[in-house]
Amino acid sequence: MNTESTSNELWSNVEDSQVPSISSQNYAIPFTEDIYYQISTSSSSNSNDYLSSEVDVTDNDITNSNLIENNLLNEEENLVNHILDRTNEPLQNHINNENILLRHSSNIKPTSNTFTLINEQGPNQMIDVSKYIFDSLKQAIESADFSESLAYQTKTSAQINAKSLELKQLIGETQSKILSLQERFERGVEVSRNIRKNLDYAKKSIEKINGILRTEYPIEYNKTRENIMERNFNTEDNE
Amino acid sequence: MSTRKKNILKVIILGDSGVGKTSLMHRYVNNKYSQQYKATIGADFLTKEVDVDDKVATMQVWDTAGQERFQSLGVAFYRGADCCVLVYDVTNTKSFENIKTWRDEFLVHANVSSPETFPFVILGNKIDCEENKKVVNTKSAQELAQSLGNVPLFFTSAKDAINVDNAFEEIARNALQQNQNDADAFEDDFNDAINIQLDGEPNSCSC
Repeated sequence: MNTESTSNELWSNVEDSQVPSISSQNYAIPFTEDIYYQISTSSSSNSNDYLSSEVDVTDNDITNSNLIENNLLNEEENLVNHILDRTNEPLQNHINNENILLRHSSNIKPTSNTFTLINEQGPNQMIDVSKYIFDSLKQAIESADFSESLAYQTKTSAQINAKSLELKQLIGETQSKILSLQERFERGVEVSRNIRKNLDYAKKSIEKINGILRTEYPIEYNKTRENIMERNFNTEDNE
Repeated sequence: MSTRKKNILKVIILGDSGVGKTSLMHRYVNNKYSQQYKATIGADFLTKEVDVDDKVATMQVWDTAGQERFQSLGVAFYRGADCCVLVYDVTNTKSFENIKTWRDEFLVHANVSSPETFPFVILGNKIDCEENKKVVNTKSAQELAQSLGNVPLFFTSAKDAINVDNAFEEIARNALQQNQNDADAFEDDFNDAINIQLDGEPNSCSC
């Protein structure tokens, strides 16, 4: 009974306050003065670099500003890795993975990640790894963003579907056209073969008739031949 | 998780192409209507704050594509729905006959916990049309609604804003109820705590 009530309290606590149910401080990484010194040195040099670069990019040079941001992120990433090497925590791999994800995600702003936590905290503070992981998860399951991405995915999928159907339709039409053209071609081949046969037969017949007429009726044959050569087909003249 | 879900009521509108799903959604959310027909690609959603029985919630209305070619290959957005609205056109018999198909399609893909009790609402749209154009009579619509488990039925017009608000109020009420049921079921499922204390754990160091 006690366990159940504790469990319910645990759940309600999680849901109402939207904070991790475990004491995150138990898993926090100690933040020593040595680390803080390195961070402040690094961040001050970063900020100097940034400021000096910003003077150079007065013409709104977007490429330069992107480079600066990348440099900043790399610096911060090296710093976190350095801290994790020192603490030798088992969560190291997980954080590294998270860093890789952060590096690839342009939408996640640095304000919500560990780097800012480090910068905001002074010496003798703790890096709240649990809070960082919890915040990351909370951001990941943000329902509004999820719905929007789902709608976008659905639209893209539908467009692909529509294009795919259109392509299928066009392929079908093309195939039927090819089939009908193939049929017509085969029919044409057959017709031309018949025509050739007929022409050959007609040629042979003409040659045969010509031979007979030339020998049996030479006068008429030559007269008619002259008329044909002169292209005089008038029947009255012939008579 | 249940607390997060309590604030958002997910409503899916389904129906044949051209029955007026998008128009109904825009009439309800933006109180606007356009005569121009533009096929919905995939799906889209609009949100509206609703106040049902003194409970405030955000209704997320998902409008879907009716045309087969614009339907998405995946219908992942069906999941997590709290109410499904089935729309038909009173001047189109085919759209009325397909209501059951849309319902079955939804139940197959939405993976609802209890398909028998999941809330559906049927809307017969375009009642502003001339009487001689109306081919689906009221009686057959009522019979269908009854056969599908006494599903609430409304005759609406997105064009003339007839009955749209009433219908969506009922939809919101049903969605809220379903949402509450889901939340209760979730709590019932996870009310047993896991005992992390080892029974045989020695009290003192064994060395």
